[in-house]
Amino acid sequence: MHNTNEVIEKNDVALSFNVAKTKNEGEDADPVLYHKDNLYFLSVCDGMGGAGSNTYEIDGVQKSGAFLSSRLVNKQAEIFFSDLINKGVTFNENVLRDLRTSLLTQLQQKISEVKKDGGSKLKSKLLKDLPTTFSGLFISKGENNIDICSIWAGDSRNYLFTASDGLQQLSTDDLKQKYDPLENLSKDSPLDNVVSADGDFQIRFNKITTASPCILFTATDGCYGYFNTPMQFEYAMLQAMLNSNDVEEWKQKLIDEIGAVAGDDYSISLVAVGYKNFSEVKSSFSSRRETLYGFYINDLMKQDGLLRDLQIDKTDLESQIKTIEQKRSETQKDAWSSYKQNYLKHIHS
Amino acid sequence: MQGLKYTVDIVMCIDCTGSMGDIMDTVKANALKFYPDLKSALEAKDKHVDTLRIKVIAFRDFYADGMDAISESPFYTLPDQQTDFQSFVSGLVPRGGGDEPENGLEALALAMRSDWNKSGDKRREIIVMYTDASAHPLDHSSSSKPSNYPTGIPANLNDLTDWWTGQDTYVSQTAQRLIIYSPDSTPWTDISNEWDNLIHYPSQAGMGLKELDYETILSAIVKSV
Repeated sequence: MHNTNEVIEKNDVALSFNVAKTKNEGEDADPVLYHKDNLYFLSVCDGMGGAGSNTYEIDGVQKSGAFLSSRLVNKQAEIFFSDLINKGVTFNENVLRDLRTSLLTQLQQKISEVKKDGGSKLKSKLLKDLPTTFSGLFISKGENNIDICSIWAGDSRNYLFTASDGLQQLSTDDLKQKYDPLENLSKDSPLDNVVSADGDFQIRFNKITTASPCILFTATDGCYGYFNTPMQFEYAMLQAMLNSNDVEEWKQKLIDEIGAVAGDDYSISLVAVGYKNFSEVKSSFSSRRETLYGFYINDLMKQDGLLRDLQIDKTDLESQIKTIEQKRSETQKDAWSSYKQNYLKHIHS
Repeated sequence: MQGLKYTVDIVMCIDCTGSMGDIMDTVKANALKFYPDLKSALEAKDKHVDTLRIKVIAFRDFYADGMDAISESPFYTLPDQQTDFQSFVSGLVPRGGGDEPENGLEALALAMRSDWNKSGDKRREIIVMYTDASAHPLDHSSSSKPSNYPTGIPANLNDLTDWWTGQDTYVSQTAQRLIIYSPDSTPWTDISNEWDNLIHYPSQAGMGLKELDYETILSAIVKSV
């Protein structure tokens, strides 16, 4: 696990982490969490393990395209947005073009450095040069409102989290099959838009304004994609928050909650905007946990419990059936062995 | 996902015509090691597959080999039926086929039409094609197909492409993966240029495959499960 660049001020309620499923082979980049005055930029990148399976030799070590691309793109996004923030430039759709060009230039430069002639002979539309997802939030905090620019390519997601309405997705996954977020948890559609050196990608954009305060975060699919429902992901976020005494504990509990289900690397960058401190965040969200539990989680947990019990009963019954079948087979054999003494006595030679 | 179940099905289409004679032992060895290699790669990524099944379609040429043109195994559940799988592969004999081309496309269609495992939360349906030859067009001799020609095969390459790229006709759009070890010849080149979720290694049935490329193929499958 790696901590992000700690540019965020000490008194901000913010956290980020990057947990690799396999040590030293994580394909998520360290998250970006940048803050100056009333402007924030958060981003994550998840190198595409399947599509980015081509490997390149870097300083004598083989690294996958997925490993290289997520780090390169998130670093470039950090440079791009920190520069924007420091210059005081307002983010708009025109800036998107510059961002896309900047990411593509870096990726193409890298691929020309690492790709060797006479390398792989594989031909495939499945494999891409340096593919990665990217999601980011450019946040401008006003007196009462917060302007949010949600940008992304792929299925890393941007979220708004409020005490009144809970979790709200601010990005639309770039899926080849247009499943809704619940459906896609099991159907797992391939992506149809990711950042890569091939250049065939778009940076999507969604601009909204919301009331202060709120929580905003960006996360890779390892964070949300292994919960059975989006409601259970929100519940895990709340459980981690409300069972903690400070931001550091919240971060650790969140790592544990997600890590208990995740089958992939997972990274997140989160900021609570407009709150004075962590205690205020907690008190604001405490009733949300009750609502979420009462309306959505309680019934799901009850039925999950029933299914678990029935599975145990089923395993016990199957074991009992097997034992009795075995016993019956032996009984039948013994019975026949005795019975056949008379039954076959006239036809035995 | 909580209680996530992974299922992986693999169908291997193996060209068993006479021209494969010199390389058949290598193809068989590669086919047999694909399962342990895939399993190791999955476990290295901490992905434990609940059910992994494998079947083999051995093909030759319907226009030259009569009843000997195709032989299809059932799905073997591994590792329980590893011996049966090994026995089927070991029994493959390179013979017949006449001249190029062969009936690789029919084998591919039959593979797509397999009785895929539809249970599990995360599934992968993998087809691996080993051939050293081009393939007969599906509309070859369309008015007088041999009597043993399988029914329900697509009429042409466009229809077969629809099976692959359409909305879950036979093979799942999200689970499908196709690996082709074949020469850069008709129709394999067109297929590798057009079809998604496919990796093509242009050579005689995978001969000369570098370790690094083999690892890329395994990784492309494993990391997307």
